[in-house]
Amino acid sequence: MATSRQKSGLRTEQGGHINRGKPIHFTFDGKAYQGFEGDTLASALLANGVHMVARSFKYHRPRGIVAAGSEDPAAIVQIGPDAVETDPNTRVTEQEIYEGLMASAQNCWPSLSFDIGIANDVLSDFIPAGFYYKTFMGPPLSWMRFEPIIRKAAGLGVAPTNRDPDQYDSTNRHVDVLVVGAGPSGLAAAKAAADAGARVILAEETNSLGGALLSEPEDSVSLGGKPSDAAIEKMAADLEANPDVTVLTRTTAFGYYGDNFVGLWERVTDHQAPLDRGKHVPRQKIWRVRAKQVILATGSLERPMVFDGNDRPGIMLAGAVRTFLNRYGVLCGHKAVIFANNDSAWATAFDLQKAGSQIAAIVDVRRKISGELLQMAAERGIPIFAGSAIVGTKGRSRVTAADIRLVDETGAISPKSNWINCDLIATSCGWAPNVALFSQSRGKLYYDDDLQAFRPGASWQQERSVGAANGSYDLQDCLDEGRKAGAAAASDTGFKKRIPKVLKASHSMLLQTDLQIIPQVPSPKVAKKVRAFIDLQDDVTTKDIKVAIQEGLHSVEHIKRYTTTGMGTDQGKIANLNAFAFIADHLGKSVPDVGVTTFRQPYKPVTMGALAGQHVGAHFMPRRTTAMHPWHRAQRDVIFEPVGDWLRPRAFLRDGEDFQQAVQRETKAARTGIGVLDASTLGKIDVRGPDAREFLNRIYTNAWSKLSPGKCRYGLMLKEDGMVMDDGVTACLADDHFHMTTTTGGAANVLGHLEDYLQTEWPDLKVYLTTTTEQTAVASICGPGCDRLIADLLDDLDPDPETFKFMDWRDAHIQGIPVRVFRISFTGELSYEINIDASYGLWLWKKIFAQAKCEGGGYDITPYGTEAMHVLRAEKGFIIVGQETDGTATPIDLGMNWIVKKSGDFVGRRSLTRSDTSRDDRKQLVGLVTEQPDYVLMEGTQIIATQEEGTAPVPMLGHVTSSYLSPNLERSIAMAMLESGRSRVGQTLYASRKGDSAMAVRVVGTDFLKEREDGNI
Amino acid sequence: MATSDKLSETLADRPDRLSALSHRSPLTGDDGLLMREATHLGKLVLRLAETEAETLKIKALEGAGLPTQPCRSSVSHTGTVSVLWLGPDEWMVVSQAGTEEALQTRLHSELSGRHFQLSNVTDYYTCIDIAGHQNREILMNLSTLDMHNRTFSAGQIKGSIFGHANAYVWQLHTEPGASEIFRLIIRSSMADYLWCLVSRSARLFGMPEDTPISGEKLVI
Amino acid sequence: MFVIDCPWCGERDMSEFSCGGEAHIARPEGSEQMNDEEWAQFVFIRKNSKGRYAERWNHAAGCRRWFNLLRNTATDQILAVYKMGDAEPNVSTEEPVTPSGEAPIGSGNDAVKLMKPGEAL
Repeated sequence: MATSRQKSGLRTEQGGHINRGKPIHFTFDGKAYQGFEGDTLASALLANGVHMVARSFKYHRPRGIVAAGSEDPAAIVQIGPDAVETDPNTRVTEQEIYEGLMASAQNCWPSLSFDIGIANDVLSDFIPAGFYYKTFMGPPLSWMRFEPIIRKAAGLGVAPTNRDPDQYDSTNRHVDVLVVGAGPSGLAAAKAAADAGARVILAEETNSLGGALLSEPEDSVSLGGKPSDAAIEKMAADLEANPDVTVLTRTTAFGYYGDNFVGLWERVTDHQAPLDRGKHVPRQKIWRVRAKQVILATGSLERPMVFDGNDRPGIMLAGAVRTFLNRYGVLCGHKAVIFANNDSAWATAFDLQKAGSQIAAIVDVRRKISGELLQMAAERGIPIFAGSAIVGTKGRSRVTAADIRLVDETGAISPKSNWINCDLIATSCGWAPNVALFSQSRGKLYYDDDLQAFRPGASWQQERSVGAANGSYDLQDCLDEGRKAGAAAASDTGFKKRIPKVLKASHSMLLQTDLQIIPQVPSPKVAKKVRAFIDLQDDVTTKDIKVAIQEGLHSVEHIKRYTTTGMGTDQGKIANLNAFAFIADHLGKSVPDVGVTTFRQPYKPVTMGALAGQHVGAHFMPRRTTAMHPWHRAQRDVIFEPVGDWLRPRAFLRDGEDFQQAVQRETKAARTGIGVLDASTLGKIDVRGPDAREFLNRIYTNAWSKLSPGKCRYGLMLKEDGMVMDDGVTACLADDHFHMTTTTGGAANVLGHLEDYLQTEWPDLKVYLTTTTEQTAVASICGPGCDRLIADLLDDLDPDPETFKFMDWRDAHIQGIPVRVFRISFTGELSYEINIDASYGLWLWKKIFAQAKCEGGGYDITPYGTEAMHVLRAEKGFIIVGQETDGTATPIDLGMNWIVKKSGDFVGRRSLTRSDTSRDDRKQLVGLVTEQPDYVLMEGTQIIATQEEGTAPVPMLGHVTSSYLSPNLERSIAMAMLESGRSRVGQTLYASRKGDSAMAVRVVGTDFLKEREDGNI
Repeated sequence: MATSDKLSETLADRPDRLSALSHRSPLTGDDGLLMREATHLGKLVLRLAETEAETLKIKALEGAGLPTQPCRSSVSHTGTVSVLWLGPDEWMVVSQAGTEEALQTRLHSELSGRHFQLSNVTDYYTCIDIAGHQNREILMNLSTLDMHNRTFSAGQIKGSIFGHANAYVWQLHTEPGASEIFRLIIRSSMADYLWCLVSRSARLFGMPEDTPISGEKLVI
Repeated sequence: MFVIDCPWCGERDMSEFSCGGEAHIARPEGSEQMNDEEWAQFVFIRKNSKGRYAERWNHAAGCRRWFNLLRNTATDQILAVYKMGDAEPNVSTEEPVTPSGEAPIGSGNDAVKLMKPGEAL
């Protein structure tokens, strides 16, 4: 009979929160298994007798399932059918099974049972604490040598090879009360707050509400006279029915940030078979919750015992064993040894025995155990070893025996070994409040001498910790605390309506009483041979911590980093407190004197996909486009350029052309035929008010008092430090009304800059600003004789350059549609800019081409992109803010003294005469021509004085800011910021080239067209 | 040349006016969920001192005062003109398509002598209307604003960030019992981004996803 | 990620705002008479103090108004929000006390690890 049980009897006959009517099939490492709906991968594997599911990070030791929830340290696997749909580092205790689930072990090669990396275990003496630090600090090449080997051996899961095929969502919520954790206290809190009328979110990490109550035997607890299951169901139904309450299961609060901002991570479909997942349902969802009040009901975590050989599969937390039994109906073993230092683990023994397991022993380190407890064990015929400990274990992939010995008050152990066979060791070193989120909220902890654990102390934010998270383990206390906190939180947000009824609990739970912590169980072995693990994921043993302390590290933060304890993907949830206690013991200090390491966000790893949410792919960022964009896109081959958020055509390629050829053609066409540029992206600001002129006088470096309506002027804007920030043409519309343009990328900055001065420095100035960038679409038409085309287009304006002069503007119409025409130029050619309401932009653009091509037209018209525009303006020596300037150039540096007025203040004026800005040897803007005319310098090239670079550091005279091949000058041209540049005109300098000799360059003026006229190039 | 042939076809006899989202068709989802562009609505930005706004009655606004309470709007007797609070000295006057020029002229003459600014932003912005009872939920997916009906009610207008784009959201006054309508007022250049992001965020409610215009070649 | 109570629009997420640096620095008149050092004081030098600090903020995505904000830079606690031109209100705050210059609680600094409920340093 016992044998048949071993084959099939790991599932209890009845009970548990699983659906026995719905079997689920899944595979682990290629082997088929069956579980039930409601099982996690962990409970389903345990029901099939599988304990070992992984190997550890450093020594590749077998790792089993230790805990039942997200605190499990090392039972992580790879989920998914192939290299695309695969999810590494998934905790088996959290992954619910679904039909067809495929899981596999990771971090082992070639297989889980035979792992070559186990050599690391044998060589563990050579991977001591601080291995990485020591390797880094060693000879320069040692890390280089070790790194590839370590990478191969230490990899955790395998990243997917392709783009994530899943969809994720993110959303924002404001609530009055956020409750984290739906155990008894969390439920009571949520109910109380909701009853008072507050907006509530209740977030539960697992798939069902109830928390620790789900780990109790069926019908053993009643709430308000009802069995707990029914009571929970009723509370859940009440909450669900309230439209202002959102209950989220499978949702982890992963981060607690400033001003009660909490990130929730919901796994929406991870528990469903792929075919059952709704087509439009996101796989996971991030809820960014801003809560007026937060209630933390995050429960408590059990600490494992630290003893030699405590890492074998089959050695589990006593509470987890009980959860697997009562929540999932799974026996974790047939012959169990319980190893405890408190009463709570005894309940595991009693429940296990009742369900059919044999309890080989209860080992309790305490010498004094309550008579009641002893009697209960005696009635059940369970052997008790009081004042004893497990000092060693046997078994490779599963524990097979425990060595139980007496330990006296001095820590001395009885000399004779006492091996007892077992297939499960359930340990408990007491329970500690789960204070991670509380700590993230920047609240301060304190050490409770009774609990021998840290509890929430002084709060910083609007938050309350309740129930086990607050160190209250009694069910009635949890319910009361939760209810009070829920009502108080609601009241603090203005909902004082009702005080909900007290829910009376009746139960007979065994709590953690008379706790007696021993930081490490002594071992009969020589110290060097003892392997007592503190951190099961990172393979940190007590020996590693001793080494760290011996090497002089006494701060808990330093020891953590040196040994990597608590630094795995589990963040040491069950390891940290044991580490602190061991450090304290070893240093002869108290635990509070040693202190804690910082709890940081996230509480557990969150997928990058969920964090990105819907803002991926084409939705990643706004790409602003102009009214003419559909036309640009429709051309055969167009290269676009992102300019700020905008997307602008860079060059329109014709058949057989490459980019450079297209740019050359377009640049040439704008000076010989007619070029058309979409200039809609330039920033535009409407400036109006009686003090508008005075405002412009203060904002620009030049004077605006005399600009009359109908005229435009170029202006340069500085920051208060005297450096050029933006430029553009501003038109006078009326005495008190101006139309300002800015650079494409600078529009938002300029408006902010202007509003700042108006609102904060000069509130007395009567000026209003409104941005109008997108109101108008702009076509810039240039080239000799382009006035004839303009004349053909306009209904009612003669664009004759003799009467419509440079820097004038006029209102006109095209087919009755109002337009505003500016005679301004960024190319040096005859040029007109037509502004039209943006909704007519595409029509205007098409109209221009149609007009040019139609009968009687016959204009040689060429659309050109931003690259040709850059070449054209460089030929004329015009700067581009952000290309020639980098926030360190004054107008004087740029040779633009002509635009700086002689008298009157403006933003940045005083800075122009600072001792530093008035130096003669500052970098100044110059033109450069290469000795070899067809050689185009790379932008950013450094300019040096001699052809021989000599030895480093080579003195740098300046750098190239713009460089092009100019079809109109039939050679390359470049602009550069050069030390004392203007006094070097005529000199020959050298442009440094990587892997080649420096190229000789001649310094010239910046207006290359004029330089050619003057015969300088 | 092939290019020029194609171009000659596009010579329009009549000026062709296109709204920023003219390439998009209305989208529907579950339970009456509807997204559509409200095209060519007249939009004027009025800047005026807060102190003047409190007492000023502007005839051209047909009974709609300049709201001085933040994030509120007012409606004319006829229901055709709305005035939205954008800032303490800044309002947006929204009127029916094609009426903005006449309204601008009337406002100008009525306000003359005062220090004010009136800018036509009809084409600067376009409007995306979202109707259906899931619309608050959809907007919550995009913005950090509290969209709950306790804090966002009919007539309110708030500027915020939606996805990565600045925009205003305005809850229109609707008949009692009629479905609520939220109007996003978004710069034309970012309208396609926001339209598509709304459709993406409304997938769960049965709305088909529109993908932003993309695929432009950026590499030489 | 704190919340700012805009004097006009009310409580909004910090992402809607942009910070303009230290408040109450008026652009000096008659800068031509100032020497380099005096001018540099205005242009470049900011207190950047840890603890109580008056800043200018702009509700960039909302009403576009500038206003002043008094903040404890060690803890991100906002002590007051007030309009441009108003004087800095007299509000007290937890001043930095720990050896590293952090507030004892709220700063995320761990010089002080443990405090009981309601305990203050």
